[in-house]
Amino acid sequence: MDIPYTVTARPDTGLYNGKLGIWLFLASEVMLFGALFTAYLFMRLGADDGTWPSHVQSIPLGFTNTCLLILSSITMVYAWVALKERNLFKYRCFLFATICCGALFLCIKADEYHDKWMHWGFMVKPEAIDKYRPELTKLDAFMNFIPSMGVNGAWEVRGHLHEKDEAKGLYTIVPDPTFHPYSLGGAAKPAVEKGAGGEEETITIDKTDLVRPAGNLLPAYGTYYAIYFTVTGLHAMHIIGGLVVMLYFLGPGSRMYKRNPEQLANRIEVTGIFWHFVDLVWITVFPIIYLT
Amino acid sequence: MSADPSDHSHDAAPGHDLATEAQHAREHARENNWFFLGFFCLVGIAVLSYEFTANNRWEIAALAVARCSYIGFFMFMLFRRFNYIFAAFLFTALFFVGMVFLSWWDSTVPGIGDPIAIQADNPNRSKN
Repeated sequence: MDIPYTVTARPDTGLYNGKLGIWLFLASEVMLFGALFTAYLFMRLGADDGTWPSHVQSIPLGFTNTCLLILSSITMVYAWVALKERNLFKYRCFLFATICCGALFLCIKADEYHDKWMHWGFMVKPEAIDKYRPELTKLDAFMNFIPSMGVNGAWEVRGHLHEKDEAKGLYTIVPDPTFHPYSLGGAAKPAVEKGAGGEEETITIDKTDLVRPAGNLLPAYGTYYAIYFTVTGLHAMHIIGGLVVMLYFLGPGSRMYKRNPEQLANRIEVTGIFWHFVDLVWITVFPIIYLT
Repeated sequence: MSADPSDHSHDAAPGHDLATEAQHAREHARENNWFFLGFFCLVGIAVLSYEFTANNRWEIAALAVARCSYIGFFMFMLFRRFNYIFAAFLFTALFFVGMVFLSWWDSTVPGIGDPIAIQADNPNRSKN
């Protein structure tokens, strides 16, 4: 039994089945992401002064990802146009280009996650910071005093983990440089400066000098990282979902072209609507989470 | 209306003119390109404003022109019946009013002021 209105629109709704379905689905998605963005806003407004991280994301990488998604939205539309022109080869080329952009986006995101995994933060007691201050100053390292941390506040020091000695409770890090470590004009990665002898400039932090246990920049480290991983992780899952669907339509799903090219064009149009939505969500995520 | 599963007359797409439909699809794609360009400009200006600190009046003016041009461009896409100059003028005026409102909101004026600033001044504010 064939299902009606898979190619032409129902007269009462003006939409074919797939399009009606995707818009209903996107309505629920808007509520999901809307709730998360609202949660972000409330947490940002409720944060104590000086506790909300700033300049901790790589702007060049985030901007590259934005460009990739915008480009992929354009190629997605041209894949649909190619089907309307009944040009299967062109369709496959544009869909493949879209998949490549999506895959590249995920690779960059994975690199950013790995960077967070390798990055550690330390809340140093105010009475202990003088032990580290000369070296940190010499390296022009990032230091941020957080008054609300612990009893008398704490100095936050961040850096790329070089070595960890669990038995002695010592962490050797290559500290982040002061301010704008990720900006367009600065280094894309945390500073891994070389000393005069070619060795890395590191400092060693003792865990007894910390207000709380050291940790890498994952959700448990702070509210900002929790919402960052939740929103970008959920968005990445949507990208993966879209890629799975597109890979299907690039491979076995494209067999429909011989049987019913118009229906395949509709399926690609619906996939494209979803992909544009994912693009739009990223365009919202990028300014609020990266440009903070 | 009926949605009889055995009735497929509507899926036959009577008078199906492939050439016209393909032309329509190409026009749709071109419209989309402009729309995506609008989003790209939005993100581009956001990054520029974030990264670039204006040090003199010319740089401030350049940023303002970039923003106003973007607003005009985006609104021109949405409301084609307005010309670019009118759209830029109209929406720059609206944008200006919005900025006045936001600066008011960012003040400590009771009733409309910024909740962060007001909270910070409150000695009973909880510290976690």
